[in-house]
Amino acid sequence: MTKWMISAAALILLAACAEKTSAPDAPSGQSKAEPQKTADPDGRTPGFSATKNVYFGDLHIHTKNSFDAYIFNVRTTPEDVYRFAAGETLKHPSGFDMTLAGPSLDFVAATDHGAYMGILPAMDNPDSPLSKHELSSKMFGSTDPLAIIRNFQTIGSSVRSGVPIEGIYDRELVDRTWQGAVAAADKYYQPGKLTTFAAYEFTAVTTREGSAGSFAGGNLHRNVVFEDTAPDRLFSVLESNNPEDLWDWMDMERGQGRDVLAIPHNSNVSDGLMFDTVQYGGDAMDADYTSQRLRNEPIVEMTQVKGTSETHPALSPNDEFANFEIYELLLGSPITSKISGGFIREALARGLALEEATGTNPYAFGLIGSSDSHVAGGAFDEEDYWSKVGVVDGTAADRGSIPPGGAKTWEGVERDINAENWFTKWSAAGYAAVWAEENTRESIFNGMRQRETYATSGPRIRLRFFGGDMTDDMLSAPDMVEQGYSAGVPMGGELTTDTAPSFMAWAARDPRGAPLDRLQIIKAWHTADGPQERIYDMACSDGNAPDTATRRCPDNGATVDLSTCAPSSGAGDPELKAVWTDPDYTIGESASYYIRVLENPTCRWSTWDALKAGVERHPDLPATIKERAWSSAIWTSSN
Amino acid sequence: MLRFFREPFVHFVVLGAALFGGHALWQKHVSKADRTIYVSPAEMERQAQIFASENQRLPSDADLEGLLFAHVEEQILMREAQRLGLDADDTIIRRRLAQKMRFMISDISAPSLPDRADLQIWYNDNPAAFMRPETRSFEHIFLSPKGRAETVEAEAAALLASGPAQDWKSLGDAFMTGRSFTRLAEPAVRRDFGTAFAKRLFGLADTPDWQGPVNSAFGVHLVRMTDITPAFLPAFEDIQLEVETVWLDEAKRAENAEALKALIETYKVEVAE
Repeated sequence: MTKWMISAAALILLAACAEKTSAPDAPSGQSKAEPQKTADPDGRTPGFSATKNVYFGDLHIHTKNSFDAYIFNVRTTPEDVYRFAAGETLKHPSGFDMTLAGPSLDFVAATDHGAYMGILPAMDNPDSPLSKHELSSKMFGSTDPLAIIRNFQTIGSSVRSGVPIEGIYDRELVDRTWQGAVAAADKYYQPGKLTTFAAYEFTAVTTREGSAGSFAGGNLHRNVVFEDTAPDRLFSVLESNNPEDLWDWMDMERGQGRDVLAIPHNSNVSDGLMFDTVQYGGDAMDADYTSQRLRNEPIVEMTQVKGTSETHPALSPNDEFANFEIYELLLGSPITSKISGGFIREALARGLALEEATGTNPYAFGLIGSSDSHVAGGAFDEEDYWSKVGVVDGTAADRGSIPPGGAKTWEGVERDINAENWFTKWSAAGYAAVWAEENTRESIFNGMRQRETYATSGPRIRLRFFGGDMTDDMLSAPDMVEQGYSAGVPMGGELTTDTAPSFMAWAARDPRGAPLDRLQIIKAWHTADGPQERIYDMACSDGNAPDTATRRCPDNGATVDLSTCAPSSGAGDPELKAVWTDPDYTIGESASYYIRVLENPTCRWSTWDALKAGVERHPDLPATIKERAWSSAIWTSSN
Repeated sequence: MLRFFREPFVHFVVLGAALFGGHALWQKHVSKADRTIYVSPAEMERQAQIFASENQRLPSDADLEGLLFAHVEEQILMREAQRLGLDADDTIIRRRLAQKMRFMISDISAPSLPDRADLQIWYNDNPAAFMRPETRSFEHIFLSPKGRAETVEAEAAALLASGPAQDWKSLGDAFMTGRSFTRLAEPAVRRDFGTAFAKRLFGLADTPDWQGPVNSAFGVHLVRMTDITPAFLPAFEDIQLEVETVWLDEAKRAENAEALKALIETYKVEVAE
């Protein structure tokens, strides 16, 4: 930890002097225009479809208004988040340009930390009274890296404890900054084209003692997203760091006509607490708790730059694709997070047991991915990757994908501990995919509430999933989707059945990505022995069929030429679709089923970095990844 | 403020004088500015402040001596390095200084908006910045190559020859993003169908007849155009906010370029053959 802090802070210093002049904190001086509604006479925007379209977005992005972004030289604003989403180019704090490699985003939200929102820019602004505070001069007037970091940690420690720092926590300024963020979201909302949401991050952290007096944080962050109108004042960890108090506040907001949901942050490093079997304070869950949780948290973020939380090889020893972008270290530390309780597949099973005990399944959540970028724009592409923090991980050498100091190989190189522990283990950003009739706040928010969502690891794979009375002939029907909706429920839905349920899934490749390898259905349920899971390959590429004993497709033989990152040609399918009936159904059981679709392998970002720099790639990092998409589950129960 | 530094400061001065009193001997050989390390009160206060914030206590005399030595040593090494020209060829230092200067130039001032009439004149002079791209609306019949890779193009050609009729919606395979598309620009078509298809589509004739076959990342398609909206310039009134935003960006960029140019003009540039 300490070692990292030194190198990080040294970089901050180098660049901090360069960007001293920060823009004023008030929202832009332009008059707030009403969103340009482009609805047709019956109130529908262009592109409206009764059978729904899939929209791709990012609901986790920070700007300079977040304390842990500003300190890493981020100077971009919420408005920049929306510009980037629309395809414009931003500057990374390390000086290079960032542009979406693919098409623009359909929906997006800037989610700065609510605690101390906008405070650091003011501390660094000579015109603000906050800059006269002792802590401000220690953080922004000093040139000593250690002192800067230690003083910055004062802010971080206040966020963790929930105890505000007197003289620094200017509540009025936080309110003004938040209102500016809400105004920015309203300004850039273009129904039918770009949906923006007013949102912020609730930064709850549990702490364990770290080494050398540092901390190790269990991440219980939530992104709080408002459907349309938002209140003038947000609820941050400086009010309470108990998520249950956040839900009380959200319930109240909903009562005022402002619908809102909280999206738990990627849960892999929650120290086993995000999907615990007890309440925050340790009490057993009761009906009030489980129903309040489900009402407020219908979807979770399962993949982002800090890794993927579908499952862990230790939890799913029979899943040969479980070891995917696993990240395990508690925030700011080299200490491993508790695994059980931090991953969604186990939580899907646990939820069914909790439903039996309390009447509601608190973990009947849908899935999304996002970026958690702290530089106002997500790095979704393996080929054009900039990690997420700012000046400390902006270049390939910083994040440990190429040897430092211009070396061509890794021989004899002492690796930077922070790159080794953290940055090299992080991944290119994921997407939130939502099925909705049209690209409006109302429609997309409703899609999230209905859990008709899925997560991808970066490519824009299209994925449909229905459960109910699905039959093989539907697969070749020209109105396959209409039939899916009318014969059952889409992803995120619930089925009641006394016979083996059948499912229909359909995945189409991203034309910019790789062909598809296989389509899998994953069943998670709970017995007296604890969480259970089983994976069935549902459709194979290249005309193959799953083996009846192993339930797995044969390897389709796709490879990647690591000297060019070119994929082998011929293997993989542009689309995969299948109908599947659970062969192991037991009468009376409750279960959840979700889809995982895998692409052919492609180069991981770290391989691209090395290839572009013309150096040896990091020998301990995976050279390739199998990008994928995961649907929200469909839940079945008996009558 | 920081009263407690006052006293240690006296120590610095005394100590500094004692340590470097002998420097007068050198002055015959070098210019005074080159060979004097002047340790200002502000610098001493800063050093002591850093020490205090790091260690949560005031520096002792021994600490002060250490701080002063370290500072003087650094200054001397830096100057010697400069004297030897080591800074001149250091890419990192060069880039960092240039970047610092660039930020300074770019943050000097925010231009203010012109009045509406002037803004409209500017809009009239810069139509390219506000042009909306050509969009196409179309319907398609999709034939998946699954299980018939060899014959699918021939099947598509045969279907085209037979002329799909009223029931075209029941022909072919279901397509993930639907059968009808309204007012899509080329990037949106690329997103749904891939690059090759998008390129072909925007070259197809404006007729109500089925055309094709057209290949995509997914398979083979027959396509029928339902509308082609050529690229157009929206009226100023409809996009005033957008014009303002673009104007501000441009003005800022121009101001920065102007400031940089003014700087460059104070230099003579010689490029050797």
